[in-house]
Amino acid sequence: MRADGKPEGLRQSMAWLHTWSGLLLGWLLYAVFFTGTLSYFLDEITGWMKPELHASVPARLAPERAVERMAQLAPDAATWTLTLPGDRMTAIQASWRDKGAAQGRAGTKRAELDAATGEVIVPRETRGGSFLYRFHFELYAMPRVWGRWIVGIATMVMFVAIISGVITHKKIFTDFFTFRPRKGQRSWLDAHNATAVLALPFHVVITFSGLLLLMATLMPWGVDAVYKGDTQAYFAERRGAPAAPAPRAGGRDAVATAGTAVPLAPIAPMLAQARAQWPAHGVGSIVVQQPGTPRATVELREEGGRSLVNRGAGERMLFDGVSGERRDAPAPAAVSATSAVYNVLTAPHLGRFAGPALRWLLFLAGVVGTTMAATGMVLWVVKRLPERQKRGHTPRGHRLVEVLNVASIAGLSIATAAYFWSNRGLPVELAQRADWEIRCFFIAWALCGLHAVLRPHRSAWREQLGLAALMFALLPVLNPLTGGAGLARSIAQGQWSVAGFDLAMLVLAALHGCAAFRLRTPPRAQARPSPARPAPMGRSGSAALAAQPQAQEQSP
Amino acid sequence: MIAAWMALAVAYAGFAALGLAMDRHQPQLIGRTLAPRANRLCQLAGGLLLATSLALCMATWSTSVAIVGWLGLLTVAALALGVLLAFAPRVAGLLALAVLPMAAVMAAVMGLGAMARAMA
Repeated sequence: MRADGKPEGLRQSMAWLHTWSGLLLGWLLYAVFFTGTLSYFLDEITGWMKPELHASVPARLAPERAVERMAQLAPDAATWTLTLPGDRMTAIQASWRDKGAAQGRAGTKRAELDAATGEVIVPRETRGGSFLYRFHFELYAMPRVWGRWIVGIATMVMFVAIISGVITHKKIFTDFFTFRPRKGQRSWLDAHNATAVLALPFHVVITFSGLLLLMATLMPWGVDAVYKGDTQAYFAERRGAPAAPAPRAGGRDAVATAGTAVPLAPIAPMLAQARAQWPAHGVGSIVVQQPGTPRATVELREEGGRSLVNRGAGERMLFDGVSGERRDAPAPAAVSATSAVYNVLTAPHLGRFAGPALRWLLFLAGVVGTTMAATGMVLWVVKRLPERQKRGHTPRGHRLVEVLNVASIAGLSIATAAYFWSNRGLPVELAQRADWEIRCFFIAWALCGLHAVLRPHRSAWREQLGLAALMFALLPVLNPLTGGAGLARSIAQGQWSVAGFDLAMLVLAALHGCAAFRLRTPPRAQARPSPARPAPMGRSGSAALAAQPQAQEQSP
Repeated sequence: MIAAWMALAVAYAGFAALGLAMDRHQPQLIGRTLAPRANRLCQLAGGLLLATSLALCMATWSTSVAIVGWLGLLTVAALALGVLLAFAPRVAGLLALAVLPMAAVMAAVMGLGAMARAMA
């Protein structure tokens, strides 16, 4: 807003909107971006946090053993589902539903099986990556609906910030590849612009699809009106109601086959057929319907998918469970135009279709988005340094933003590292163990907030980034010492989900370490407290200030 | 997988060509400025290379997945060029020259592989 009361141009008012919408919800959006980006590796994080499962080696996969084991574990189940390990998991995940079990998750039992022997592995109690995943759209310690509303509003504001940011940015194409290091405010602006512009399609899709995914919470009225409040019916229809399951008549089967379990046909030939048909993807999961009965069927599902239109669902092959003969699989339900649009827009957000290459691309785009949020918040502080110098003191509002920046950016890294450390540090037999891990996350985060209040701005950044680097760097060392597969073993055995986690921790440690290292020297030309984070200001405060008139003309 | 790496390499070369068409980056890349006519040619080459990169993605993935993958590759390629131009401008240009023949070699390897499979 202009102090002199003159009318304001579109670009100026958009700059104002961008600055303040970005700042007020920036801290929350940063946390959402950070935990959401990590969630692209949800399965890998959960797998690392269950080191008992590292004993299972996917390369020695023998699904026959797992099927034999299921006959002992769940002889009376209506369905067995075996999710096979591969790029993302080391062990087989088995789940089954007993006959007449409750609908949905409540009626499902789970176990984890060794890939080679089929033996049941009992991992430690942990929420694993699910905690970070849930946090990124439901937050924590509040009713889920509230969390979804808060994140939904923040997402809407993010959309506003993206659009106003594009309007504010004058020279998108001239500055496309421009980053001018060691120029103070200009460097921060360049970094903010580059991370925003170069991943703009990702930012727009991720934000818009985030709103779509929350639409049942944010705008429930349409569904309420058409489905008369039966939201389950709506969700079922939007997914494309599954092809009608084979007639089950559980009661009669149970009577007819009591005590006379019919052995399942050997599964190896079925797997061989499937692998021949899907050479690139392989078999992702095995679903056995009505095992132990004469009507048993075996369905093999392709790993990953080919298209976003059907949410990345793969192909299926159906076999007779007794004779082992191939049967015609029911044709997949046609995807309506409405569902197709919804699926194409939300699939990249969920990333379920993605193989390793695409998953890494989506993850990198998420890292770029996280950096965009962080640089934007730091830029707010850096931009106001001259004003502060003129006034001769730090206004309380500026100090508050500084503290929140340190705590929400560096503090969240420490909290995440503390979450991984507590996974290995807490005793396995501790009661409510999973809850304690989450408590460690929030205690560490709160301590970072306190530290940011007590220490000068620059020291707070340096110390917290340094600690985060140390904590991340030692995780790959801690892993083999506390029962997991260390890097040497996991790479040798081709357990890429475990090795990938350790390697990613080393990369995180290097990034945090670099930032902390560049903050090591105090700013030479400035006796005043606290410029912002890294070296640009550190190298020479006066050069940074000298660069300002140019930077000003270009930025809000 | 190889096609995805090729698509990345070609996208990088495409962005480098687009950068070469920009006054600001010409001194960084070749040590002098270009005539307007040459700028147009660089832009054209850059556009064609980016389109080739999309075509390579389409060859690997279904259309919908390919577009997502392509946009992701564009982000990585443009960021890489931006960072190199800031810290090692010479390397940025050399890398662009180096990746094109690499992409061509990879294409040849892939073609031979496909032929070998067809013969077997």
